Amino acid sequence: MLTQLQHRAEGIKSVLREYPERGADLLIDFASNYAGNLLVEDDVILKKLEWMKATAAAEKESLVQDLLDMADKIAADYNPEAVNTFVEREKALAKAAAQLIPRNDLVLVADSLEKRYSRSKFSLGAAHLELRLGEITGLVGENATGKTTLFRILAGDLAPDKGKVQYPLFDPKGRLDWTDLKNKIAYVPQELPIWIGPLRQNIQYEAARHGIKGEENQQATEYIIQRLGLAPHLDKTWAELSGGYKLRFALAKALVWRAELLIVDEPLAFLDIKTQLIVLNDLRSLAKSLRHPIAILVSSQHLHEIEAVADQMLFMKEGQLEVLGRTADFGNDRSQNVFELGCPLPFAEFVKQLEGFGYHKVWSNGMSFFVSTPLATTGFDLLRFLHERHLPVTYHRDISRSVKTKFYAENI
Amino acid sequence: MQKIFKRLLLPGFLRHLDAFLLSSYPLVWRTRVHFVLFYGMLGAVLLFLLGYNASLSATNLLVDPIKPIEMLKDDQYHWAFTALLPFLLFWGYTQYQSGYPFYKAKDTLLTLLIYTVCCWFLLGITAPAYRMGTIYKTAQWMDDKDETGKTDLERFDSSGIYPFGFVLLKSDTAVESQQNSFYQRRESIFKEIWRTEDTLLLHRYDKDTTFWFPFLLRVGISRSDRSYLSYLPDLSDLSDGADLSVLSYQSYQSYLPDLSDLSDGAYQPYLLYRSDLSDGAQPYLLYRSEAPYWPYLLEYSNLRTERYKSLTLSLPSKYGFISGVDYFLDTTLVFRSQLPNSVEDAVRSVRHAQQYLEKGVFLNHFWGIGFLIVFCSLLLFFVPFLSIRYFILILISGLIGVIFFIEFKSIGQYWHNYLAFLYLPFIGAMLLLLSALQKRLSPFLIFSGCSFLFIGLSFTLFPFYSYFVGSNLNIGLPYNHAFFGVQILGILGAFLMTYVQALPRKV
Repeated sequence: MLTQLQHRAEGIKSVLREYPERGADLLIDFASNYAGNLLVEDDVILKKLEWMKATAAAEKESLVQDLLDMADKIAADYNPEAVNTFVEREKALAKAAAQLIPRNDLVLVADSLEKRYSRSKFSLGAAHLELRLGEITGLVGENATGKTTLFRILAGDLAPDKGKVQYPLFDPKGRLDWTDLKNKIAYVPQELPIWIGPLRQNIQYEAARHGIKGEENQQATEYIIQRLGLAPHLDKTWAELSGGYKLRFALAKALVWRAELLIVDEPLAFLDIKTQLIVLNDLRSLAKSLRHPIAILVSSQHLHEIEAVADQMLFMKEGQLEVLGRTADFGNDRSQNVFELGCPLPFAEFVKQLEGFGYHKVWSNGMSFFVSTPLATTGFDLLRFLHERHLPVTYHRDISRSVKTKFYAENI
Repeated sequence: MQKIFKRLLLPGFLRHLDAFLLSSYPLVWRTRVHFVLFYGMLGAVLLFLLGYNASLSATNLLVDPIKPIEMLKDDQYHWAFTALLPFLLFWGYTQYQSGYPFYKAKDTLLTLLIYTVCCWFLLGITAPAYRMGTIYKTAQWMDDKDETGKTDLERFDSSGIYPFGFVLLKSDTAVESQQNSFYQRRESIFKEIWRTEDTLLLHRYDKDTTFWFPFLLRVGISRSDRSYLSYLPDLSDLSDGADLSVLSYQSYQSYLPDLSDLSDGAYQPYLLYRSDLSDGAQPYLLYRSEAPYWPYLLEYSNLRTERYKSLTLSLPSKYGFISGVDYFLDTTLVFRSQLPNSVEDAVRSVRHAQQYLEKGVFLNHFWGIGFLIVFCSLLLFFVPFLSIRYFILILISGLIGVIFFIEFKSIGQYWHNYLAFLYLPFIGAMLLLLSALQKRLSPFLIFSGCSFLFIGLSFTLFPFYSYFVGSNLNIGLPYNHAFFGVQILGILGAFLMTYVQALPRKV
């Protein structure tokens, strides 16, 4: 085992010499698996960060040498018992953490909200809404249904005509001291304001403004920069950033100070698939953090992605908010199943081919076909039926328990 | 090269300080106080060195022999301030860019205090640095010592040639009795004039010239407190309404290429003044029309020549009193008629600079400028809240109102002063108050309110600006309640703005 480990260390060292950044990542994994001490992994991470910040060639070379030495040391100090003990301890900690009851305080309560725009004759209504720590609430709805207006009201940016918004966690006495409240709500609007000055400085400033100061400020900034993959873009100006990176930086600014209420309007709109996953995973881990759980309200047109992480779903249609309840419970009371299919056939031909299959209704949105069936009919039944008729199926999704059905309510 | 330049402009300690403030004191960092103070200090050193190296000669005196130096009314201060203005505007622009993100009342107070310190530093230390350089240079101008340890200034002093060019020394009395009698009488008159004027000059830095309180508060000043400038009205007929003292007038005349070009009308008041101070004695002046005294003129001329010779011929030449017109022969010194006055002016200029430094008059300026600082820091505070559209709108409508109130003098000076200066900031503060009472952020109310306050504060500063640069546009200075009222409304507006900017918007 030891020889294998030394071979592995040699491999990492050769990568380190050629591609220090990639090599450092490998070394972090190596330390994580074989060091048996979290501090060693932390040391490697810090060395990597130092290397990234260093500008002088000699300094960079010296840091690479340190990393090479660390690789040797990890391999030499490898102690299977210590690692096992460490892994066991980590597992025990994770188990204990799972048994802990996370904070679930009520962060925001909105009641009977109304907002009218007389010029456009648009009116928004929200009967009741609650946001809690440790939960992600997803809001979906068609364009121009008032999602942004609702977000602005909840973030304290816009005053409702009627109704009230309360923040029991921040403002238990209901004084609504907005100066104080706005320093506790992180709101990332769809239209991002322009940043002035160096990007890192903006993030640091935001963290410091919210009480994360000194050494902790540096660490928090560095962490969020690494986590959201912003390091290669730090030297750019705001105008030079792509839409996706602008959003990432805006998220970094909102996340760096560990706000307890995060309201994000359409965060996935400009993000590539990979970053969407990073952002959603981050939102989920942030929301569920044991030490600093937060309440997150997020809107998106990416229904499936949002559903995958949200604890609660909201739906807006023509300005009216509908609270759909817990994501896990959604569709429990449905009367039929709905399937979404991709099939390279004309719609009429597809309908014709379905003859004999016991469905309620078939419709198309121009891209996909939708089939509603009795509850007893499963997706497997539908696929088998199509397979038996040799119909090509390029895409299939069971949306019976998805908010997506709300968009086709008239068909269901 | 670029690296060296960068290091000089942004030294390591400043970079570290910037990083420290950013991560630990974001509110302080936002104001860029560290950059303002550092570059302000750097600017002060550079300006001082520039002033210290300014060209100084008998024909280009850097300190007026007579008129007190009032920084805010001083051309050299204005030039330095104008050079500083782009940096001040840039600083204001950085504050506009960085906005004012939901700070609390205590943060507003701290921000205002920081702005106050910065403005005070820039206007009180950086801007006058050039002037201080010229004063230091002048004060040390005649400091060279000879082998006996006597400075050139002392040698000029003891020569007795410069006070009006004609004051006699004891040794000069050994002339014939008739002439001696004339000399003695004349000397006593001139000495009296000299003493009077010297007394005036000794008082030129008494309170009322360098402090702002008297004219601002309109309080009475006892005669004993009055300084040189306070006497000016008594002497005003000498200068034909111009802002020249007797000595300035005389100095001015002496710079003219030829005294004979002077009209009697210009010269006569000077003679009358001398008569007034001579207790009834006849003014024994060398005036062309006084034919009986012509013989004495020659005697004077000889005496004067001897006096210059006694200075050693090199001294006038050293300080640039000798020009192309003046030249030395082996035994005779030929010089312009105004040369004694040039020497007198130069020596008085050095004495003036020394007096300025010894009396610590700079501190009077430094503290006296305080009356402008609250305005400046409030203007800076409101910069991030300005909206160009509303600003232009309010500027146009506001100025129409101001012009109306300025013309509306029939209501009496007190109310006129009230209305002209208070109405803009009052409306501004009321609009912000209304927004606060509604508990809604109305863009119209807060952007208009902020513009009203900004323009109101600027408008109150404007008459001071006109006053100090000597503009003809005289709209009167704000005083008493108007002056302090504008500041109180501005401070109230700053705190209201802190509150209303965080409120949810109405639309």
